[in-house]
Amino acid sequence: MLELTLNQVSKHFSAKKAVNGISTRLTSGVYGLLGANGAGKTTLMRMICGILNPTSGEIQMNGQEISSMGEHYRDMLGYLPQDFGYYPDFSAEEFLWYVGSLKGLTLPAAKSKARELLRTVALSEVARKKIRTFSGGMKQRLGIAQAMLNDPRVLVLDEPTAGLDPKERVRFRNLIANLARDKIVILSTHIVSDVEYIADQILVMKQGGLLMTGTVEQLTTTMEGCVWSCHIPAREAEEWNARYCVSNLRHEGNQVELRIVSTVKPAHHALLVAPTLEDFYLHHFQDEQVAVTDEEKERA
Amino acid sequence: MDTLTRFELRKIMRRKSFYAGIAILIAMILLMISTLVTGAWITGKDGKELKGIATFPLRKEYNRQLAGPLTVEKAADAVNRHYKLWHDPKNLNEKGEITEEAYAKYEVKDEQIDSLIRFAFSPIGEYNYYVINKLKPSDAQAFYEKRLEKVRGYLNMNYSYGNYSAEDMAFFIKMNENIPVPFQMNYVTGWENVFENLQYVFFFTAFVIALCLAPVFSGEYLSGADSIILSSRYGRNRVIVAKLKASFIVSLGLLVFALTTYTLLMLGICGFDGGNASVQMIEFMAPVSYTVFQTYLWAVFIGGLACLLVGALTLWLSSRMRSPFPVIIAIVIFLIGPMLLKESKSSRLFNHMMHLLPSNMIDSFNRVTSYEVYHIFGQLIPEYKVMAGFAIIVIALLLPLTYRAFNKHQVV
Repeated sequence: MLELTLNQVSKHFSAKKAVNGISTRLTSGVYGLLGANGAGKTTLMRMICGILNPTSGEIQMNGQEISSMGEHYRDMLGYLPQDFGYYPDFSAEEFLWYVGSLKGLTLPAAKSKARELLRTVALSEVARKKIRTFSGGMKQRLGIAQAMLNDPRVLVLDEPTAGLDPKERVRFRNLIANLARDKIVILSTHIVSDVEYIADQILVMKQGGLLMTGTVEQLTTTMEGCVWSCHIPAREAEEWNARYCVSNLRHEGNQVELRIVSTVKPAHHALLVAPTLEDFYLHHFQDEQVAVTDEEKERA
Repeated sequence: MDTLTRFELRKIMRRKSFYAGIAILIAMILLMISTLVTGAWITGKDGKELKGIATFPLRKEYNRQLAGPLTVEKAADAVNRHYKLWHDPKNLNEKGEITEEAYAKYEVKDEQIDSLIRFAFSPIGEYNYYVINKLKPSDAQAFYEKRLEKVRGYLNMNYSYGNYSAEDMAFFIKMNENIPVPFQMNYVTGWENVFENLQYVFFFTAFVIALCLAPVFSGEYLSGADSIILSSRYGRNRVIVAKLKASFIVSLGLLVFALTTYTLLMLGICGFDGGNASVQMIEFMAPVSYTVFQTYLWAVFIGGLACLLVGALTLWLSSRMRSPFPVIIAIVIFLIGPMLLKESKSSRLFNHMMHLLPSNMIDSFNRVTSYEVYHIFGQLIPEYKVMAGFAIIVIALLLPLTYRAFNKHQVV
């Protein structure tokens, strides 16, 4: 049984509190880190991976401080950073062999595991191609493969679905679901639906702190009675958009259907609807940078 | 070689900077050799000036005739030949100077030994071309005494940055007395040419080493690969050792490549002879009792250590800077800066300190044959040996610092 404990973990950069006194206990399962840009997700993940020391607090694995575990802890770890460098002159398989060697695999073992993972992330065909020829999505898949080379017990994935097309994202979600048994998987993403599908538990971060923790249901339950649907004339849409937190807007002739997140009923004809995680997100982060929705991501 | 070292080697050797470095080395070596070869000249058998590659076989032919021990009898014979040449009216023109024909027929063959005699018998601090004209064959008996006299005179001169102490003088006189006489003569033009540009070979090699090693750590920070490396099992220990090993192999490889290419090409063109000759055939006042080849080995050892020191410094800077570019800039300033500074006219100590910088250390032939000595813990140690020890100590200090810097690196 794995247990990763964060005890009052903080990281300050001069006056800025990137992570502020986070305490939580993670056991086997998939944890989604949700938060706006600058919420401290990446900093927290870096501290969990031991590549950034906390200013205060401690992170323990099965009761032992991770910094004192050294190589033993890193051997349990798989990490996909948000933006990281590939060696452009290496082929995909060479890159994986190299990372495999870094992770303590013998070269034959690294080769065998690399072959298997390249197949898993659908890169077998281009295994011998130089990474410089890869698209963003291919690089991201290679990144996911390298994180899993040592069959890690703690898998930390920072924005793993960035750059993946919808089909690849589905494949990734299934992969994580299969992998998650007996592992701690921590992933952050801006794509709310990814967390919604994959995560057993969601850790909501805001301004360096842990705002809330729970399952999708638990979080969305807190939004019950706060999500409304109503039809208004199209010419008034802009005004409503400015006045309320509108999570969706759909044109229907000269009318628009609005989905509004509000603690008060926005109009007498507004109807309560079932809340989603995206509504929850918008409610808590409407004053910060808006999360990228599926549609927006695809449009981009 | 372990797997990680092989991968680190591959990373360094696949970068464009590596290929650019090799190209720079080849271009500079070819340029240096061609400049020396095209600038060579000798008076041909027909009295006309001979230039370029054709000069070397002829000079070799003449110098080989004098190869062997430089006995005082041999010097006396040379003085005698010179005397006869200059006292036979048919060899002189209307101005009383030797004719081109006579020079080509007789004098050119003795150029090497005559110049050594001129050096020995010229006043201190001078090279009097005509001093040989005033000598009698019997004067040549004092050839080696005259050389020692000149050494004493050099040591007794007044220097604005501080004179040699009695202890220093005794040290160098003893060194000179320990040089076996007679000196061994031979054709040494090939080696002389090798020494001529050796410091520039080291300079460019040091630069290329810096170019190749600058991204070893900082490249990982810049690309963001440091996150993956440092969170992996061997990312804070074995991979750092692998990076250091690979860097050492690349540095050594570049050094061997540059030195081998330069030396073999130069000797291939100018001739391999003369390795067993006394180094005094090239640097008459040299206080060391080495052959030309032994001096070459010392020069390569000192210059090579200077390059490795630049490599170690590059790695340390690379472990502390976030991009390879400022590392290269810092190394270029470090390499070129001291070259632009003139030697102090008031402090020998300052000059000694400056000489320990790699940019001065690479002038290794001059350092091995120079009259500089360091007083360390009551011991007198020649400068070139201090340089070797200094370089080894600094490298040994920099490597753990580099290891520590990457090991403690924080991904912010």
